[in-house]
Amino acid sequence: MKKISSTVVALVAATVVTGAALAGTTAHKPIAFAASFSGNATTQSSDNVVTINANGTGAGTGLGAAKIAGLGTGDSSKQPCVPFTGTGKMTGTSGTLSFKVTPGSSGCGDEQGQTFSVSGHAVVLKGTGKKLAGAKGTLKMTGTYDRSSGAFSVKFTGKI
Amino acid sequence: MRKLLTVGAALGLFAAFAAAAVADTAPAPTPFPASSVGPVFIAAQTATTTGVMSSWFAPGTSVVFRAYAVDTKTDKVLGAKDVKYFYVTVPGQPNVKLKYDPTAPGASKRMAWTGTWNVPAAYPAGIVNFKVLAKTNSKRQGSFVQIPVATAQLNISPKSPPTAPNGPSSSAPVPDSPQLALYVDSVNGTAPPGAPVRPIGCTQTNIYRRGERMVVRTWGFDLKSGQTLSTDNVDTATMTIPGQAPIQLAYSAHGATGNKVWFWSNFFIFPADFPLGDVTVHVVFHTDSGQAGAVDYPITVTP
Repeated sequence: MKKISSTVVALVAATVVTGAALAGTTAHKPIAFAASFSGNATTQSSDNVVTINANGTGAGTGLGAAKIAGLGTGDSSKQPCVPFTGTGKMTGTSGTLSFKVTPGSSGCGDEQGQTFSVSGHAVVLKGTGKKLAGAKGTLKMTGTYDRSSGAFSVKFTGKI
Repeated sequence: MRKLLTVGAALGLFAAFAAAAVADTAPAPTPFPASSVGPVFIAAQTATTTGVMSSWFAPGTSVVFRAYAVDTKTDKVLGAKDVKYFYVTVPGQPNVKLKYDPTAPGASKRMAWTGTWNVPAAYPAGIVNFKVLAKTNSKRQGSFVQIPVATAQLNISPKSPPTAPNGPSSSAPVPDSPQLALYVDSVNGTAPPGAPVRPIGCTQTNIYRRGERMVVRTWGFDLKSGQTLSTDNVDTATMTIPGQAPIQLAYSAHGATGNKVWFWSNFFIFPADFPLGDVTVHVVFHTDSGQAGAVDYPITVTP
């Protein structure tokens, strides 16, 4: 009887400890994320490597009013779409989201190489803030870019 | 006077800032032909009586208009009994009535509505801004105009390049209830180094020589949402040529500055050893919401 009681006490203690541990972890609840930004991007070409530096402002789910900064490289030997990859961060009043643009993303130009459509995907690396902490997943990324003025706009959507 | 000058200077400054702000605006896509589908979707091409697609015709020759249409409410492809009228308006000419017959000269299984315009010998040279109009028995209407890229639009010219004697064999018909309504054509792209140069670039054709560059152009609508197919709602868009890896289609701007429109396209250069004869280019779209559509677009490859 004494042995059984000890086992029960141990089990209860284990349960309490486990419960306490779980209570301390905030599990991320997936959300429908949408953000849009506009701003200016500069490109520098060396041989067929294009270095892209983009900065803009906008807003997004879980971010509030936000800024975006991105750095990447593209391969201008490919036509009509220039593939590019890179990393970026959205920094908002309510949270942040770091991401990595995945291979397969590209900017497709018009015949004059001035107006580009941008499309691809971005993998979320890290999120902070009430809604974005622990966020994981892939976002669809679409937008446009005017090479002569540097102006760009981009949207991110997806469940993360 | 001083006050007026101050106000003037302020206005000038404001105008300068406004101009700078406008200059820094990212381009907004102008989807062709519209951002959402109308009551009746129409796709049309111009061809010879032997089914060779062409956008250039000499006076005195015949232009076959061929088309298909979809009622975007029922998603039903329009057949002979479904329409009140289906015709082509040509500036300065009588309307060209379209008749449903997949076996008519110049028709295809996909584009079974045809009508022939015999171009008068004195018809003025230049672009023909024709329009295809249809109305269903349920009083739903639609129209079609060509993508505004000058050399790929219907042109009448005594200097029209000769066309091949015969076009490719007929394509597959449109599914009875498509999820996506699609238009596809192709034009001769910039000649790659060493390839024969055509007298006019970027003209519609479905006949290509080895070494030439084929540019496939396509646009369409998701019939469930009614929205134009763009990067905002398309998951994958590809064209596949037999024996080749799928080629991703690009959604981008085309046309003259100030009149650019956005649609899907990409190119393929036929290798020197590409098999001769008829080939089907398989164009496929998958949307983010799970809708899908395909077009089997036939072409002929010649030596």
